Amino acid sequence: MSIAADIGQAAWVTGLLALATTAILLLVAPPLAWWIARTASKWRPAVEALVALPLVLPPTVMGFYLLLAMAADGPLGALAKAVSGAPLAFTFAGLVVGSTIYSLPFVAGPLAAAFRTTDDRILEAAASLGVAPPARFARLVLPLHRKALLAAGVLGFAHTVGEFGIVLMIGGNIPGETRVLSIALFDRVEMLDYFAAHVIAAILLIFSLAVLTCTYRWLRVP
Amino acid sequence: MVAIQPRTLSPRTRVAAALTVAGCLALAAWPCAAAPLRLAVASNFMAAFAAVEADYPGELAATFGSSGLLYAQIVQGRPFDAFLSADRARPMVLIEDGRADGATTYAIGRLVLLVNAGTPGPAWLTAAKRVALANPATAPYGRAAAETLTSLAATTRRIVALNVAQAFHFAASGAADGAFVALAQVRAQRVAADRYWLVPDHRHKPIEQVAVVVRGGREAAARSFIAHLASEPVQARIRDAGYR
Repeated sequence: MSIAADIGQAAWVTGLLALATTAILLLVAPPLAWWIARTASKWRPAVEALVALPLVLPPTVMGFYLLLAMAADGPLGALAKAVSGAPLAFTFAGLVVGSTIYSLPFVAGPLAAAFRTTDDRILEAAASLGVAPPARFARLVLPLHRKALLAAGVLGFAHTVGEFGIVLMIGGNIPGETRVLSIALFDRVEMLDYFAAHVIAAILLIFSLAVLTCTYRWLRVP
Repeated sequence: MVAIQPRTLSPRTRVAAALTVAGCLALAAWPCAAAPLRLAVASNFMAAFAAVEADYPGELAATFGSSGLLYAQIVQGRPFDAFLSADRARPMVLIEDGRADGATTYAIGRLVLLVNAGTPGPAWLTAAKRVALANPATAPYGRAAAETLTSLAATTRRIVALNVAQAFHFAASGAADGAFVALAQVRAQRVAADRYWLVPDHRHKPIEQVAVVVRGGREAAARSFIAHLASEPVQARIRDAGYR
């Protein structure tokens, strides 16, 4: 395969992985962040710690446990086999699972911080008008915090694009399926192919900078 | 210049100063006294390395990785004293480029197919299986594995690991169905003989493992270590570990 085709394929896998991960996170993270921001439960610190764990754990620790869990006789692997009949380790679906866990704090964290600033009076007014809690969340809280939602989504997407350690541990470097840009870059450096390495590194650098710049500009627009 | 007045220093300060000076001297002298030989060692040799290290008089500090990774690091100037590659090609390029000398073949590697279930052999390599191998571009055992798969026209799905140690881990964790690894690895892990297949020599190019002295390091010590590697008692232990 030519260098351009290899890089193009890796970029495609990376984009698809980041999109799938972000889509799942934007479904899962808002209710979770809302619960974290508003609950009085004694379990709140433990759940918050669990969500934040990928911020401090080395990706190798998560990759190690994830690979064992995704093995044919592991809990995640057995579940995947029962549901879809296919294994989870070394597959695109496996990477989505890993990335979702890995990028969760980057989406849930900023959302919880934003949700804490919600004005209680608006919610009380809606409650007095007979609006049920799920509708209050969907029709008041989420639109109020649309900037935080976008920022959290972008952060989750960009963080997934920048993922390396977990993919190295659970990916298996399969072209078109689990070879993402960061892995392709690592390969090229090991092969002393600096031309291709420069191309991939520049793509990742420019993309990340552009995405963050656009997001920060948009966040400050009144 | 300000002269230090002994009278102005309290006893406690003097003790602290003396300890600091002694500590600095010890730190300065320590690396010279105990500096171990810095070795770049191909991952397949990790298991056999203890046998080599056993009666070597000096201290050794080994970094393990694929031969390609270690080669790249040497080219980029990482200070190593000796390089124990899993192939002949990379040490020869280092010698041609004037970065190394003293090429010595210290082992001939044996490739095995390790499987988690079923009977290991050519028939095991079906399209439904997923077999881990080290990256053929950077790891000689991975290249030998790829040559074997090609020679058998096997359509088994390939899970590519960083090096032969990660390939073993992919199979051992149960995530892959099997792996192409070194015989020395399955011996060291005491894997039952019915769980691996010794790949016949004609399926891949020979895995001639060559060691070289890296220029600019502690060359004399590296030379004596490589002589130790090539000595008959050590060679016997290397053969026992799973090499020829």
